[in-house]
Amino acid sequence: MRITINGTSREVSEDVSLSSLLEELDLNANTTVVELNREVVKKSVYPEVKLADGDILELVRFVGGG
Amino acid sequence: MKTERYNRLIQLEGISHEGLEKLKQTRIAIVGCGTLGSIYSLSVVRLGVGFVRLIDRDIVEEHNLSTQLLFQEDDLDVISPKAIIAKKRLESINPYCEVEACPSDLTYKNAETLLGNVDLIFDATDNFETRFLINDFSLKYGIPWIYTGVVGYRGVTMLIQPDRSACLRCMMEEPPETGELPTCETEGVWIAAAEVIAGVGLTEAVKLTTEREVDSTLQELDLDTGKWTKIRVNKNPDCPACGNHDFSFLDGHIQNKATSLCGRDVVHIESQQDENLNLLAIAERLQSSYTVAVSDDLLKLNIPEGEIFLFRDGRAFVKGTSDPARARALYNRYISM
Repeated sequence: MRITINGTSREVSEDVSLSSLLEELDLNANTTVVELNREVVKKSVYPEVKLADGDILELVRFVGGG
Repeated sequence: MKTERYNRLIQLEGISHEGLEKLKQTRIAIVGCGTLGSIYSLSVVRLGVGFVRLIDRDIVEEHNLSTQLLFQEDDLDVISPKAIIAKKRLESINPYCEVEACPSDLTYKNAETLLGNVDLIFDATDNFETRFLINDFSLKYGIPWIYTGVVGYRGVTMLIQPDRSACLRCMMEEPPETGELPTCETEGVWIAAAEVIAGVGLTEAVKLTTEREVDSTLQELDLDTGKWTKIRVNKNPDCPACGNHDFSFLDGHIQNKATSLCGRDVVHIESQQDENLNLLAIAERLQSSYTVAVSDDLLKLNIPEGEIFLFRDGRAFVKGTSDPARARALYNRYISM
């Protein structure tokens, strides 16, 4: 199925959870803020949230340098 | 009040003379005089901000010159902490702005002093432990701050308003583990990424100061892909900091060593107590045996193993090793009396 991540369309497996997707993208849940279909997702539920076809994700990865 | 200097500023929609006056009344702290700190400090003094306190624990190094707009070639030979060199540079740009330099490490012990009596804090730091400390201070005292970070081609920023927006801990439960995030050393810093993200942070700060509507979203700019991502994050009711008023970083309960995310082969040795060393006297003692350069604020000692920089407050940098135990041993051998 296809979802959009930060404006870019991407093919992902059916029933993938948000935490699996973050792992696939090599992103860390603690340092990433995720907005799914215009709503920020609470980190504690990342493993339970299943993505659906057409979902729109915005991700911001925290950065520490300066 | 003379405003010819600020003509191009007061012509701006939403600023004008009233905005200029508000900027003049504003007191700002900038934590860090590196890449982001350079941009923030150079900008705010040009805007006629009344007071700027610079907090930076570091010295100028050659690799700073490709990204840090405050510093130039001959600063490498000046025996002075970064904050003091920065203060002189900023005063030469706008002598009407009061600039205070604090060549100190911001810790839970001095946070209330160093961040006290300001209206706004710019985060220009290079590690998350200090950011969590700023976050605690912001919540406890109701002072807004501009979280900012940059690495590679990516910059992230957010105006954090303690009474309104999510705080840092709403979005990140705890500081990342060492090695979890990329560093300037491994990924580099694209100067334009810093300029652009600091531009966003500065714009939000000035909107706040001039009482205009602010954005207060978490924003990421990736200059490599050209993507600008904004996420509106609401306060997390379960946040330990703003939800439960647990200020573990400010209270000193969590004291992780501030590992620099722009680190290199140098160890920072903390001061055990707030000292006020007579560096000139220490230099006199050392110079019969070693090459020493000294000023009131900094002493530079050349040793066979590398270099030791000693600050007036008792902190030191030991260059030539990344092993804290070895650094402490070198410090004890050459400096401790």
